[in-house]
Amino acid sequence: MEAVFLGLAAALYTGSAVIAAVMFARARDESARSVQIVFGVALIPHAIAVIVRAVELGSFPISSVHDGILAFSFGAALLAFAIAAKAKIPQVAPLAAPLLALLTVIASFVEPTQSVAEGLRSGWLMVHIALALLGDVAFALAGVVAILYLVQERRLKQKKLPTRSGTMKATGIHVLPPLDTLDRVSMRLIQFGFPLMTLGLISGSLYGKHVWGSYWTWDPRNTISLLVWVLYAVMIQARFMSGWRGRKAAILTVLGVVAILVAFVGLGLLGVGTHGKDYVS
Amino acid sequence: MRFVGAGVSHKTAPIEMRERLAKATQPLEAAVKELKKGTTLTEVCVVSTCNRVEIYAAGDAEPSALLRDVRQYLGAATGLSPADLEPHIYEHKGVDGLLHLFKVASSLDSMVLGEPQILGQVKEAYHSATAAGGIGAVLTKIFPRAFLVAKRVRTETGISQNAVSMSFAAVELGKEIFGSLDKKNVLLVGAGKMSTLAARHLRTHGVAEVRVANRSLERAEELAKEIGGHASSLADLELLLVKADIVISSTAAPGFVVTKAMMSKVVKARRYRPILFVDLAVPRDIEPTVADLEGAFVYDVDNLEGVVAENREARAQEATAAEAIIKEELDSFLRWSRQQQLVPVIKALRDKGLSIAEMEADRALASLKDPRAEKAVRAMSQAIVNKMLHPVLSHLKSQGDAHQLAAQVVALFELELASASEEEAADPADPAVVVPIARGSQP
Repeated sequence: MEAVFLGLAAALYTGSAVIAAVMFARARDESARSVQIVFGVALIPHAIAVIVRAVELGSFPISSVHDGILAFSFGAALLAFAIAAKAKIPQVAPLAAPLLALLTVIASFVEPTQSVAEGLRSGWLMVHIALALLGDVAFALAGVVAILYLVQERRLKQKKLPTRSGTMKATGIHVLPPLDTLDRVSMRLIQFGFPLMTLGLISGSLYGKHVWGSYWTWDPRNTISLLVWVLYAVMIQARFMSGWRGRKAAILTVLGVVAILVAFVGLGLLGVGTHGKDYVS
Repeated sequence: MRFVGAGVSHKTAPIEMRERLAKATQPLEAAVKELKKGTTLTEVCVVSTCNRVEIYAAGDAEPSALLRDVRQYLGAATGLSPADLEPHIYEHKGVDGLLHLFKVASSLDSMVLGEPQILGQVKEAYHSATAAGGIGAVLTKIFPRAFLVAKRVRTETGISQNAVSMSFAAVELGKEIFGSLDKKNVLLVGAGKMSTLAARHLRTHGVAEVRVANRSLERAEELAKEIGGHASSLADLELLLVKADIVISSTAAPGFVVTKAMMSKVVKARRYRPILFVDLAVPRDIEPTVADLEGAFVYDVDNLEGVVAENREARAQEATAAEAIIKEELDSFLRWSRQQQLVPVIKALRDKGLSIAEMEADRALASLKDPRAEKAVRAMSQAIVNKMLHPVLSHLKSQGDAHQLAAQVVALFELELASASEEEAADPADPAVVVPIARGSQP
């Protein structure tokens, strides 16, 4: 059942990604709406898949690679949709769509194993995973917005504005959102994700103490997470202290997100380190 | 008399070259005098804006000779070699030149179709040329006609309705960077006409504050009062730049007003908040390398072309209507000027007829020797001549292209035209010939 809905969601995300690609190639923004609609429709089977899985497990599905990706992708899709609509950055949806298509396809191929070994189950684990997941979702979206920032900044610096046919009609629809908005939204997402990640690290540490008797192990996932945490901590600090922002901040944001993706998907799939082996056990 | 027009514009020359030419042709009066000195050009008018430098001239020499003198002047004034300069120059002879001037004045050749500034700039050029003694029989007919055409285009087409040109571009760019413009601070550097327009436009988009910095504080205060802003001295520029979000610059300064060295300090003080420079000045006010700094976006008049391309598309339709008006006016002007050329023929014909009438009346009266009959006889002889000539005259007047007919009339009636022509027979098929001159030209 779950697989059917997940497959449907994957197909719809792929569809909206294809529309987005065509739209981009033709520089038409009338189809931006259709991307958003298809994207919004994809959320429905995606949500059903999560619910079906939750009913199957009897708890919120976040404690295996399959479930983690399922929950992460759903959270990201929801947030992307909200940003597209609320912060008026419709381009987030077409950019997130290929990523989500990929994640949902990966989730479909990863066997939903009965996850955590009995002895490792604990309330802390659920808290830890939920917090880290939410933080990662926020960062992932921050990365998407930062990419948009870099594209818009490039356009403005290259003075190729506001481009060719039909993109700046009387309605005032510009190809990309204002630079300042992108900068602000990206930073706000990081500021939103940062405390979640912090709490995620702390709860993970407490859980580690509880299960293994040690607060910290240098497994690859922990190491990358800590690095990203330091990176974002410095960025937020620099922003407050000296107004550090713009291109370099956007590039670092993207790098941080890539690191998280590597940690989350790559290492998770390979099953290395404490996260890996215990996760899939 | 032949009429030619030549120059460079945003369509043919890069901004650096236009800057050089604009500088070289200032002040306009001096340029006009320079052009006339020792050349074949007897009438000269120089149009110089940030998007074009054009020279309109008339003289008795061949059009190619007139154009050669114009080219020579441009080369000497800019110090550029013919190889560097000439690929960028366009040249128009006769009717083509007229058409071009009409288009320029009507803003059909502008970077932003329908922008309103150009007509004022052409008028200014005409006044300067008048003051410098550059306007004679030819230009005095052509330029006022161009103003009329421009006025018709403006009132009868929608081309200028949303024509706010560079200011439009400034607002659109502002939106690309800041989204909404309210709470944004605008700084005008230089109190020129363009910046005034831009400031008004930004005001209607709800910017928080407009500050005017000008070398003359007095002028800054004047403008600030006019648009509801505040005036500042140019000496505080660095401080003002820290606070500004959108900077519109249009000074007449020969060098850069805002340099990279200055801005690299300013961007730090602004905590790298984005800042938009719209540089309307030629020569430019903002050092182009300022754009290399984080958060600084610099657009000069050339760059703005991309921004307003969309605008132009929307107005292309109106442009077609405007072209039709221009064509119509050009035809009517040419018809009129050809008729003007017939004036001496018509006058000679009437004079000849009436003098024959006079002569014959005198003779008749001499033999009649009746003073009471004098009035009647003279009236009768004049009436015969007038009635006789009427169909011929009205035919001549109604002909659009009456050269041949006029020549035949001259031959048939053995007319001698008032002033023996100082001019070659005008061939109407030659586009280099403009004939708006009433002075006796022999058909």
